[in-house]
Formats: sequence, structure tokens, C-alpha cells
Amino acid sequence: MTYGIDLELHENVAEVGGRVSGEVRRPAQPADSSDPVRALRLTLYCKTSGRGDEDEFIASKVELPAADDGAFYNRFELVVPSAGPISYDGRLIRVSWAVEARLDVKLKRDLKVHKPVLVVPLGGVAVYDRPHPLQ
Amino acid sequence: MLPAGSVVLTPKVAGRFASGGALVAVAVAAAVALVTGAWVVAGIAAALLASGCFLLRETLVAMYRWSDPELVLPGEALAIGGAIDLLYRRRSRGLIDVSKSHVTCVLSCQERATYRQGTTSTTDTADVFEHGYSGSASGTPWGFEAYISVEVPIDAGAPTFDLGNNEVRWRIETSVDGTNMPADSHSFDVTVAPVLAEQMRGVQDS
Repeated sequence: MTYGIDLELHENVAEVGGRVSGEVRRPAQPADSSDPVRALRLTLYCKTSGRGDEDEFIASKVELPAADDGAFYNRFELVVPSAGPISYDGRLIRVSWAVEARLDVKLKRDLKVHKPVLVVPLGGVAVYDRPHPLQ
Repeated sequence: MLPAGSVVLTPKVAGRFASGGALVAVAVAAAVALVTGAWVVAGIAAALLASGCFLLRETLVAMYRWSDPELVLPGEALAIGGAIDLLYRRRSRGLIDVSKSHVTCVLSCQERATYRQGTTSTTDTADVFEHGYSGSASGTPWGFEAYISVEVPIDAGAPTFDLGNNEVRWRIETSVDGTNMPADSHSFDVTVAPVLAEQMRGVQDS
């Protein structure tokens, strides 16, 4: 039996140069579990969609070692690059950001959970509630 | 003397070099044809040279009398929603009356999306913002200058980025209008930073 990952972000809006923080939890597995967990990787990534070929990059990542019982409860912080790009919904291009929690399970398909993040310009947390441009 | 932190931009492609280079190439071709006795080719090249000089006379005069312009920005990059004063300046050879001249500039933002189909790479573009601004020119001991107020919109385009296949570019295209002014235009690449201008911060979007 596999227990899921609970990924929670403190805020889903972050400024460039700022941080995305949150908590990740996973209950302990039964002693007879056949899913040995090696690590939990948290990544903040950016990817594009639209007319052009996809661009994707990982902006920052954190790796948390697994406990013996496969349980996790960790707070994390991931850094948003100061150069951006910001979340954008344009005519040909859409830029989106998300946090991914990936459970590295030995000899099995990794479990993944995603939470979208809105990356806004510096000084824009109080102004933006959706991707740029505001129109 | 420019304020501290000012950035001086030069045109992306100097039109004077492209025009001058084409004329020089034709002139060289005419000279080579003359030397080798290819009279027909020499005649055609000479005709091309004459018509090129006629068509590009304004540019040629500008090449002689004016240097390429410079655009002075208050900083490395523009902020979203911000208004700034750009300084357009240009040196002249000799004293030229620039009264009743003004500089026009167009700020534009373009999305560029590149995709591949087989071995063919195609780039689609979309102009997502374009707005014109102008400023009056005033003479200086070394030429002329004009201040132009430019605003970066919060509701169009995106801050400059280049991710490989997907890119957003900003550009300022300048031209001058006036009796003694060269009828040419220049393009400057500018950077819009992912920073909201101070005056826009805390302004809640409705």
C-alpha cells in the first residue's frame, strides 16, 4: 500500500527574487510496506506552453532524506529567480510555475504532486491575482 | 553630464552602414568592371550607383552631417507600469538649426515562439504592444537632443525574457522629423525588468 503526499503552500503568489514556502507531509507506512522510499524531492519549476516548443527549467530544489518509516513532515522554502520570468498569459506564449513534490520510490514509479504558483513582478504581490498582463 | 546610473544605448543596426555598404559594393563592382573592360557590366553598375545615390540622398546627407543617435536611459532596465524620460541625442557636423524638429519613438513588445517540424525551425511572432511617443528637440553646442516620456504598460506584454524557444523582446524605434534633420530611423533593444514601478505598487487591480 502507498500513502500519498500532502503538499501545502503557505502562499500561492510569490515575487521574483522571493521564496515559495510550504509544508509537505506523508504519513508513516506500515512496517510491512513494500515501497521503500529513498527521498522526497521538492522542485520549483517553470515551463512554457503555446505556439513554440516547450521550455522548462528547474529554478530551485530541495531534497529531503526519507525516515525509516517513510514518513515526512517538513517545512520548505524554494527560491524564485530574480530574473523571472513571471507568470504570463500572452498571445503565443504562456509561462507557468509550479512546485512539484516527487517521492523517489525504489524500483517503482515515483509519486508526484504539483501545486501551481503565481510568480509576479517584484512589488506585485498586492496587485496580481492572475498571470501578467493585467487587462 | 549624465546622472549616475544612466545607460547609453546605441542603435541595434546602424542603417547608415547598411546603405553605405551597399553603395560601396556597387561602386567596387563598377570599378572592377571598368578595369577588366566589361563595359556593359560597368554601365549597369554605374547606373545602379547613380540611382542608389539619388534614392538614398537623404541618408547620405545624414551620414555626412549626423552621427548615429544615442538613447540614454535612467537605468539598465525599465519597470512595468513606470514612466521614464528617455534622452535621444545626436551629434552633428557643424551648426545646424534644429528648431521645429521633434523626435518620435515607438515602444513595442513582441512575443517570439520557435517550433520545429522535422528539420525546419519556424519562429512565429506577435506584436502585443505598440505605442508612439514624441518629444521636441533642442539644439546643443554639439548637435541636438530631445527628452521623450515613455510609459511601460501593466496591461500588455511581459518583462523581457528569453528561454530558448520562447522569448519576449522590447524595442524602441526612433525617427526624427524636421527640416534640417535626417529622414532615417533607428532601433534600440531595451530591457523591461520583472519589477513593478513604485507608483503602481499597492494599486489593487479591479
